[in-house]
Amino acid sequence: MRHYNLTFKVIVVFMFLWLLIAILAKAKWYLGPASFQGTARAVGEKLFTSYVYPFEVVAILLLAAMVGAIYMAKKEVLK
Amino acid sequence: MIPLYYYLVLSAAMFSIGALGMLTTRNAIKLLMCIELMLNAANINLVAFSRYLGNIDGQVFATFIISIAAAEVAVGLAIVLTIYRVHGTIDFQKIKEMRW
Repeated sequence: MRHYNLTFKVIVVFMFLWLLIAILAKAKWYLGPASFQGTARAVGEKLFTSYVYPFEVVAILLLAAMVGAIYMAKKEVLK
Repeated sequence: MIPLYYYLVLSAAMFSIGALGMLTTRNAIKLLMCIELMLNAANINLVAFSRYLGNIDGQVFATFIISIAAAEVAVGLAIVLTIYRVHGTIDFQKIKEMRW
């Protein structure tokens, strides 16, 4: 692995940021109708009606990640 | 109402700070924090577009991203803990191999 110096990394990241801002300044965004009211209720209803299957998948994923993290963090694993 | 462009510039700045941190740091915990910063930049984009397009789906998607980030950080911290127990350091430049 090559090691680049700090100045080079900073320059690359600032050029990337400048590119992003230049693109964002030029784009013409389509802005829809007026905003909505009561976002928390709307988000909850959406989450439990049309997105209930991804919600369950995320629940299983969190459970799996928790079990994996606890298993990896145990001390007996290293023996 | 704040223009959409400001939110997008804020998000781009947050993403760039996270990328710069990822490129420059040698600490594994700082690396996880920078990944979190980049994920939250994506969240800001999603919520801003959701607000300005009048469509609520972006906020639901941001909720999913937050939960995925929680799972990722949990597993990442466990990996860092195991690396510290095996190698005695969390400096990525000093770890030459990933062994059992």
